[in-house]
Amino acid sequence: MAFKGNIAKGSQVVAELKVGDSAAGSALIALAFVDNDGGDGAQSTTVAPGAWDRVSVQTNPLPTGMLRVVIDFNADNDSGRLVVRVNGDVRNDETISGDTTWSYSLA
Amino acid sequence: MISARQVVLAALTLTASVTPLAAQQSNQPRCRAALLTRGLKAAEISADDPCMTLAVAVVDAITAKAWLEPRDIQPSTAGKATPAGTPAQASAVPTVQPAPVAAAALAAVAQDSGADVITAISINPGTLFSNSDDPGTMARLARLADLTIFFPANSLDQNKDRKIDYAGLRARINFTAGSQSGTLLRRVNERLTTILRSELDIANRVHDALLKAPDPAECVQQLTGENTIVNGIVKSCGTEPALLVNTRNYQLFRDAAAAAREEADARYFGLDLRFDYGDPTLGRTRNAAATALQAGLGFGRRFQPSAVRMTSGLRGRAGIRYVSLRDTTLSDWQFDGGVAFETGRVMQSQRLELSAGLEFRYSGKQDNTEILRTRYAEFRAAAQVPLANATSIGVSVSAPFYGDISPTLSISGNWQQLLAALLPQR
Repeated sequence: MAFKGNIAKGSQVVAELKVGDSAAGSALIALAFVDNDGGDGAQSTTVAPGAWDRVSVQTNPLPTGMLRVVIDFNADNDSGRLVVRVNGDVRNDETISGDTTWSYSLA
Repeated sequence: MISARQVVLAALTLTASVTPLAAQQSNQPRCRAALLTRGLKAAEISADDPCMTLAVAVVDAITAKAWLEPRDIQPSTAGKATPAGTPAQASAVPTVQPAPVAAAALAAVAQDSGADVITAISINPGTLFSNSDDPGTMARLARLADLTIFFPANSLDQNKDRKIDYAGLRARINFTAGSQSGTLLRRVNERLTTILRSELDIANRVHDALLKAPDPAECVQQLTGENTIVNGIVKSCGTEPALLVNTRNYQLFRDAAAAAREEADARYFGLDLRFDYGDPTLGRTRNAAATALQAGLGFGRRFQPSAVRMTSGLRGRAGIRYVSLRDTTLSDWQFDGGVAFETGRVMQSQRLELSAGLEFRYSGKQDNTEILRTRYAEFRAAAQVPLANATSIGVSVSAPFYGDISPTLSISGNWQQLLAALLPQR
């Protein structure tokens, strides 16, 4: 659980997960946002042990809102590497262990 | 872990208070200062509305318990080393899902001719011999194919005829590793969006409160429970809040996420190749020593896959077998197949699995069916019970109801190596 700060409204956000080779099974990565004009977007996928995949959303330029990245691992001690890119630039890049969610404001 | 019973309802109602616009605007720098104090970098704070950033930080903190959920589930999708089509077979219809790196099994088997011990070792040549250091490539190889060699453990040549009594090879090639369900992923997206919508409602209320708060930084500490004093919330926020977090939404998201992960590993379709040399009856039938080749297809599907409850599914296989007897001139082409029902659930880090079904073999030859091992049908049942981590114990029985083959009983210990042994973590 971690609040990671603000992402500028209208940004394209990409979350990339590389699941640890020793993971017990597939992990799920989900990325979603909602905003105060009723807009929302979400994308998710499952990622096999040792593999990587990415999800992305395009946020709206005007309304404020919030965004979350959720990693649901197969087992509590599974680990991986989570990278969030905003408009192509790396915003956060961390090794994570166990279920993780990062949140951002859109303002 | 948030259980279904733990639906906690609390209300965050921030009563509006009339505050001059100038005071609201003046709180933006104070929200920014509070965020900097909490460790955020300047670039991570909204330039236009720092109080919105701070409000989401508050929501993040007060919903933390709803998101965090310890789980200890691990669906076992890897194949065991126990060889298919032998008395040591460990399930009613074996999977073609391979071992990711290596696996081994030791099976005590009993049939009409007596008891024996069969040793089997599976290796995944794709992962073992690949020069790739790309984890994605290695992961695909780990789920693609493996080879199993098996032989009797007590003696390779018990009858001293200078020939191996019985041994064989198995190859499994899985075409559908990593398959996913778009339907379940859409459900995950919907659940997550529902949660975010309710969190944004709370964030908006906190945002409004922070704009009017006498002390935004202290207000955040009071709302998040980092610092609690009597009447501290009213003093710092200027209002009396109550929390409303419906954790049921979080549970629904967890259920959808677990189902999506299970679905990814719930089905397979692939190639089942078998080579046998020697006497598969382990001495029960005279002149039954043979060389046999078999090629077939196998499939499996668990229905409504779930990580938290019993699931069931079907497995099937069908193939063509050619057998040439070693001590005679007899040979035969045969149709070999089976279908089984399986049920089980995730237990700790593996899957407890029960399976039962029918296996059969048919050919046009009506004579010598016993030594050719054809024209029979048998009932098979098996149980795989997880012990710890990557080990399990299996019990399998077969009973013929047509044809002249022996019933069998097998008790096997299974072990498998994880991919972590091969690839260092990045």
